[in-house]
Amino acid sequence: MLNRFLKTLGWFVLTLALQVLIFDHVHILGHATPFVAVYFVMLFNGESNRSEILLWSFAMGIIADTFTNTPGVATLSLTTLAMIQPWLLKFHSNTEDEDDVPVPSAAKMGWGPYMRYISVGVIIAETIFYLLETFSFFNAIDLLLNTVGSALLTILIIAAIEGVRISNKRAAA
Amino acid sequence: MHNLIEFLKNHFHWIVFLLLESAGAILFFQFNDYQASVWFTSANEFTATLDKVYSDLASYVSLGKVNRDLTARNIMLQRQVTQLREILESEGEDSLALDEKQRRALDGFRLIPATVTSNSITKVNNFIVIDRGEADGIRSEMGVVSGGGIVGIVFLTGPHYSLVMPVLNSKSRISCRIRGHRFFGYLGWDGGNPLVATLSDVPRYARFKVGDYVETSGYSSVFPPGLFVGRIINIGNSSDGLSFRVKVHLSTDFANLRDVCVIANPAKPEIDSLQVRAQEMEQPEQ
Repeated sequence: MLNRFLKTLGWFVLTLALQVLIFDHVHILGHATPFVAVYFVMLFNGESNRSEILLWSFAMGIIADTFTNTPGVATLSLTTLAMIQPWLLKFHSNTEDEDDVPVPSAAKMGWGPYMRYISVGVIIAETIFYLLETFSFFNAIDLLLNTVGSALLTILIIAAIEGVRISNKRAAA
Repeated sequence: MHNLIEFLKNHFHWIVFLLLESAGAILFFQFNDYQASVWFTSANEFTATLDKVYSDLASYVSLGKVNRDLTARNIMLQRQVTQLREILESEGEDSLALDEKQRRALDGFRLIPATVTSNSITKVNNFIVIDRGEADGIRSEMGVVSGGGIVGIVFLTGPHYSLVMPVLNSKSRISCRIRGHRFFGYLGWDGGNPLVATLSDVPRYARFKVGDYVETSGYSSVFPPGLFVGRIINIGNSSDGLSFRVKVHLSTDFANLRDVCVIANPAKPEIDSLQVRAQEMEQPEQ
């Protein structure tokens, strides 16, 4: 129990640090900004308590917001994603046996289903994030470019992080 | 009870989700000025629409009474017109010329009918919301009247709704005169009785009596002259003793206000720009 908490805390601190120290300062062509905090929400496995996922994600969002001066934007986006993450994971996992616990990992799920799982999560989170941030359809093209650009960049970075995680696990084994 | 506990246990994450989303929404609207302003604008529109539905329902229920009141008032006015016409004809006036005179009284003014969607009379600064806005040609500082008499002046306009500052607002000041005497003053309201307003700055040399009628003076471009305001019920002195303070029993029943008309004066922008220019010319001399 404590071990699991410390592991989650470790990922929390790592993804938060990556988000606020590095990725919040990336604005490719003025449109694409990675939202890697989403990776933390997508990391919870099928056994995790849903209230626990919600609380962790809320905390992640609220801290990320304080660094970017966007109170409530990342908070609402990540909390909403946290609510639907268990369904997304269940939907994209190939667990035939009912007792098998779905684990969000490219190694367990295979790269195809894993990337689909991550892509849907990222697109949902980015859409909510930019809809709340602009709160208007006045610049619809900009809104679309920001959402699509940031989502693509986030998916790429998450794929890279997942690749590193898998290779580290293999090296450890 | 057991089932309830089981239900709550199984759906506890929904409660957590709703609580966290509410906290997020509070943060979002509290600390993001733009989003908060957009929200409150939409919310205001939403509130105004709801108010309109309620007011429509309420008025539908009271249509019978409104109809009776209107009929009674119509009969009274018809009698009054007939009497006045008879008096004027006996003085040698031509009846065709009289009709022309009546038409000319509102010549140049456009009347935009509107319905009151929300109203208050209990505060010191009351406001009225009407269901006509900029899309219907309403602009701020237009006069608003009802069948009973003057109501107030448009204060703020939205696309489809407008906020009216009625006579029952301590900041309202409308130029009025005493009918037949042409002495004018400013009509204001000090709070309290919603049927009584005060006409101040009436000159000391003015001669008039309790029961005289008060009407708009027409000195501003907001109201045409001669619109009924009320009747004098008390005459007193101002605090400095230099003018009269006249208590006026208002003819408009603000507690039962529904159908109003906004008076659009096409010449108003021209008059306003002349006034602004006059003020600008005065300033260098000061």
